[in-house]
Order: sequence, then structure tokens, then C-alpha cells
Amino acid sequence: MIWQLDLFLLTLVAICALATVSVRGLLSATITFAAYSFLMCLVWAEMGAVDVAFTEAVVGAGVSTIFFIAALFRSTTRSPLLIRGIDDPHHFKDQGWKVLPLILSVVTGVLLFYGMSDFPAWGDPNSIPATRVAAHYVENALRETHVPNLVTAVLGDYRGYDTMFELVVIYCAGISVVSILKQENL
Amino acid sequence: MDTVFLLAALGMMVSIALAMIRVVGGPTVLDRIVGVNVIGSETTVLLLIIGYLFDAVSMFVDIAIAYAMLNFILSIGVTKFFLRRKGRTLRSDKS
Repeated sequence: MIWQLDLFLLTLVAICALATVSVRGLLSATITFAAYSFLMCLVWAEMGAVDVAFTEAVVGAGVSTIFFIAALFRSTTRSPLLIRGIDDPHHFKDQGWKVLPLILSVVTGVLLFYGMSDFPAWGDPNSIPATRVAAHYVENALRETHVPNLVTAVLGDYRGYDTMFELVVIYCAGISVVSILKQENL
Repeated sequence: MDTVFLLAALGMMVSIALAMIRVVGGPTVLDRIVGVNVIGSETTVLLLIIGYLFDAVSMFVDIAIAYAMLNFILSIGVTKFFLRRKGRTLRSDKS
């Protein structure tokens, strides 16, 4: 963990998140959200979690942005305010701050920060998750599974059934999305 | 040598921040798209630099390549949206 990079990255991530919420127009918000995902992927990679970073790059930055744009493209609303952020007197006006969602999100944030105090320190070898099964994986995975990458060994061998049925779920979801998008030419 | 790469990473960060100004403030949607594209390209390089700092470049090369591809797909997807709207979306956001 390199603190100079961390400081810079997390500042940019926070700016991006605020911009995503506050920007006018759904298309702009989608694009700002893609930038947020790109930076978040850098944060994961910088913490050494390359696999999570890979997932974030594929799902967060790539697929979900395309899905958002496809949904925007296929939505029947043609309000310029909603899609592009242009004021149109014939459509509804921006209603300013919404108090109840603001209170809800602040309370949720405070609760999450409160729950975070129970977490072990980053990279702590004596934390509870690191002292139970992890040691067995680290010591025996190569001999038992002959897979050089530890994460792949756990996902594809020790938790093979779990991963297989996850793949089934993702496959079904993919078929549904494709069949919905296929109805009319995108 | 690590210091050089760290400084290079910080330089890339500054240039990401400059592109971010366009993404956050840019008057039209096209400015934001180009800004995100620039951020994606710079992130590819930054990932490799981080890989070097961790002494595990071979692990980070894969994700950097996937990243570059996704950046490309993202731009194509957004541009396709614009293609269908036939240039009606090119006006400014802020009316």
C-alpha cells in the first residue's frame, strides 16, 4: 500500500462520486460513473487485490456502463432534462435537495463507518479470517490442486461447486439480458 | 529506481486529475466521454507502474490489457448511442 497514491486516488474517487450524484442528465451521470469505476479499479489494484480489480474493471467500468447506456437508449422517456440535463419548460423541474433520502444515506453511512471499526487492520496476519482456513490454503494448495495461483485454486477447486452454480446464475442472467435486448435492434 | 516509478505514478495521477476536470465540469457530454477515455488510457499505464512497485508486473499486465480493451468498448458503446441520436445530443448540457 503506497500512501501517496492512496491519498490522491481516494480524493479523486470522492470527487467522482459527488459529481455522479450532482451532475445534470443521466447520460453524463453514467459517464462520470464509468470514471468512478476506473478509479476504483486502480484503488483495488493498488491494495494488491488484482482479482477484485479485474472484476471491477470488467463489471463496473465495462459491462454496467454499456447496460446503463442501453437502458437509457431503450427507455421511452424523451425528456431532455432526464437524459441530457437540459431544462425544458414542458417537463418537470429540478426539485432541489430531497431531505428524506439525504437523511437516510447519511444515517446509512454513519452506520457503515461504525461497523467498520470491527474490521481487522489491512494485511493483518493475526486477524481471524487469516488464521483459520487461509493458512491451510497457503501451505497445501499447490500440492493438492497443482494450481499456481492461490485465488484460482480456492475458486476453481476448493469452492468448485459454489463457482459452478454462480456461473449457472450468471449464464441465465446473460441469456435474459440478450433476449431482452434482441427484441428490437439496438 | 522505485522512487522514479513512484514519481512517475504521481505525475500520471496529476494528469488524471486534469482529465477529471473535463469529466466533472465539461460542458458537453462529448467532453466527458473523451475525458473518461483519457482517464482509462492513463489508468492502463498506472496499473503497470503499480505492478512494478509491487514486483509483480506479470500479474498486472493481464488486467492492464483487459482494461485497455474495456476502455475501447466503452467508447464504442457510448458513440453508438450518439450515432443513433443523429447529432441531436451534441449541444451543451447547461442549455
